[in-house]
Amino acid sequence: MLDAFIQGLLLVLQWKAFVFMLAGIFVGFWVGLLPGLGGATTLALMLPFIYNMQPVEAFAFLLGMHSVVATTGDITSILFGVPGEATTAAIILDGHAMAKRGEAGRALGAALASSFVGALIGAAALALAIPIVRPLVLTFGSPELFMLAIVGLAFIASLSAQGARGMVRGFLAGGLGLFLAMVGQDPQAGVARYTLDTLYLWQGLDLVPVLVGLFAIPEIIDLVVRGTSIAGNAPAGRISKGVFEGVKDVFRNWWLTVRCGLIGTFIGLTPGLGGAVAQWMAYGHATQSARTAEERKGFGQGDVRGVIGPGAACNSKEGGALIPTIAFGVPGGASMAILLGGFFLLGLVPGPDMLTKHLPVTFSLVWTIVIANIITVVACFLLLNRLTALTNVQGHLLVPVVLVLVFIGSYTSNSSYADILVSLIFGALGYFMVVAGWPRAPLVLGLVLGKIAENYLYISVARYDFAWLGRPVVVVLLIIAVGVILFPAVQAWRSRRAHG
Amino acid sequence: MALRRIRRLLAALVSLFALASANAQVYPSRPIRIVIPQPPGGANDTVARVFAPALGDALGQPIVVENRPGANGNVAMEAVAKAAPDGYTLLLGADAQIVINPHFYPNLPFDTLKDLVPVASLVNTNMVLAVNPSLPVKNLQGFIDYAKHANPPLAYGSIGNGSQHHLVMEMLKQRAHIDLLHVPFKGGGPATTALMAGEIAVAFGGNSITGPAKAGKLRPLAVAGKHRSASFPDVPRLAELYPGFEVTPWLGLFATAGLPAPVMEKLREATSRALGDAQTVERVRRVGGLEPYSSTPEEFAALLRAEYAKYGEVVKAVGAKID
Repeated sequence: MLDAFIQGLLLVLQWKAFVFMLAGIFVGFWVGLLPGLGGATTLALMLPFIYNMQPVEAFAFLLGMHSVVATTGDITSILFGVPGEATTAAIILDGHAMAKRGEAGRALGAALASSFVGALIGAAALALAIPIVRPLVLTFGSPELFMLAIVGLAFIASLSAQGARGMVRGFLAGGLGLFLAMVGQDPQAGVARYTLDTLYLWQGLDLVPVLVGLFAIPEIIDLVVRGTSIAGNAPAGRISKGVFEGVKDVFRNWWLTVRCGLIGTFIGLTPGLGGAVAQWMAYGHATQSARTAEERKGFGQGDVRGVIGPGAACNSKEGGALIPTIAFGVPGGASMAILLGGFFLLGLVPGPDMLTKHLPVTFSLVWTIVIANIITVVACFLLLNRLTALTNVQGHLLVPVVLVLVFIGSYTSNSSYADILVSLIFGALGYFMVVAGWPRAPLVLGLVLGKIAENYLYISVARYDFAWLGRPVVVVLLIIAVGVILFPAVQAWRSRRAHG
Repeated sequence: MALRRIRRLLAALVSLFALASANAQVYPSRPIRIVIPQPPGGANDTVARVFAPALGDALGQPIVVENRPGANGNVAMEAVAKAAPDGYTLLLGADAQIVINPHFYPNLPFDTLKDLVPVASLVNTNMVLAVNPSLPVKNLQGFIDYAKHANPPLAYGSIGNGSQHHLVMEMLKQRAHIDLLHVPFKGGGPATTALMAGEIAVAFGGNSITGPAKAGKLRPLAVAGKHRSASFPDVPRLAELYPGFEVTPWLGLFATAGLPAPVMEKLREATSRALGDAQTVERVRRVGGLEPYSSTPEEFAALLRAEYAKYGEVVKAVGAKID
């Protein structure tokens, strides 16, 4: 075991594998920064390059690229409020708010440090969990997955503002999200719902144009209206100063970082949930770390914990997603499906062989994740001054560039002009929600989880009638969901007691 | 003055057209786009990327692979069906799109058999019928007998409603006179996981079943193809118990109808060279259970017509339709 562990490290450190990993990191760095251009698409584009490589070189290349995308995706989200990846939208809420306050450096420091910790957690999980993953994944049948989606939806309570008014608005926004999730062909009977007679809507709303519209466009309008730079009038020197403050924040909130890393890993290793859920669940959990209702109000205004949670989850989910991919050849998502294609192309059959015959290769994957993240984080820290300086560029210079990136980003999701229309519609919706004080996070949660919940509810009922309601894990998850819904009340009670 | 300007413009246009038609004679003179009806990671996508280098070499132009997912592949098919018939826009389509989709979507704004023309078949694959190993059956006949007496009926999984995996199991149900409950999952990953967990008892699968089956986590009972599978040489064919029961999923290259004959000629020649390229063939085999599939244009066209009719009957029997 230890032998294979060290052998894996040596495999990655062979000069050829290492050079390929650096090449992968370089590509992934830019892919993450550019909104819309997703990790999965790029992996597919890179697949032909691996034909003549050895397995270790190929995975150093592919995985090196893949492990970086989430990290640099966070950077775009924080600096511009434009989701760099569909999976890095939740970090916008507090990360971009910090950037607007002139604390881009601290936000990036916190995001990079938490990403790094998250990556380590994911890699550790990959190394440790492989022997026990089979029973773990197989315990999660459709009823459990449905309940997990319900737990996710319960976080709407934490993502809404306090008070009856805030809750009503939050749940209405969540309801709108659930309604939007129903657009498209229903997965059971095949009936087309709310498709307005267009082919485009048959597979439902694509997440990227919706997220880009909902989050990026209001920020762009805001930037134009204010007529200043993103960081307003914050002095240039201060912006990049907080970097190490941000790193320290991660250690101050160490257990939150670890818990969010574990949330990400868990969502990654459960096939059928999808990466977009991870950051939102982690964000919801981060808001629960507020002890009182007053503290809770700071979330969305630039609370660093709202950066740390999503940052850790986004990177740890990749290590998690690799687990079922390697252990039994069932991909955890689109990117993993492509990596799986890479496995086959190179003549490796995922499954028990990866734990015996090819164990060093498996450990080389763990090492690739770790080393790629170390290199990326160091590179990002070196570039941080340049990056944060962007928040000091005047709006009228920045807006055209960001606008182009935004529309290219949403167009690449289906290569259809309708993508841009969807972005514009959700941009208008997002802007009015911000102005009127409605939370956007519940809407996204409803949209992302609605499809999952519907599909697994149908399967659960079709397969087990209502007997599934009595399954132990389902009951535990239900209790957790109720707890999550009641949590804001606990926060309110704590603050009453603190004042009383 | 204005007239002269218009005349000059017309002259320029005419020469432009002349240039264009001259270019057509040296097809291909610019990069060729292959449209994929799936997002990256699907079978069509992988196959396109495996074939692209060899095709590009044979044609002397780079091949651009473009993913146009959406509406179960109908968006991509429409894009190619309505493109200029010049051979620069091709579709890498599967039976699921070309001969199955039309039966589910009777109002498609194009006809897959008339507006698209087959260039060549590329690959095919063998579907495996597998059960959860806890099911007390050792072979196909045992499974059929067990399913006949199961109460409530056994559940089977598919990768989606109206998918090939769904329809083939419906065909088996009819042929073997058994009743099974359909549980549609979203994609092969969740369906395979559910089969391993015993949430469903049985399913048809492709690549995602191979790994677990070899590791003993799933029990393969039969393959649906014309030949036994190289991965499971001991597993019989469905046709050995039900003569004539044969389903072989395939992928092929399609162009817009009205393609000039010389262009079609060139494309077919290039495809057949790519299919003869040892390296490409080797890669196709490695991409999980795929086999290179060469056929004459007549054979492929006949297969399309036959399967179109066959799936039409199954869909009618299942009673599914999407308006």
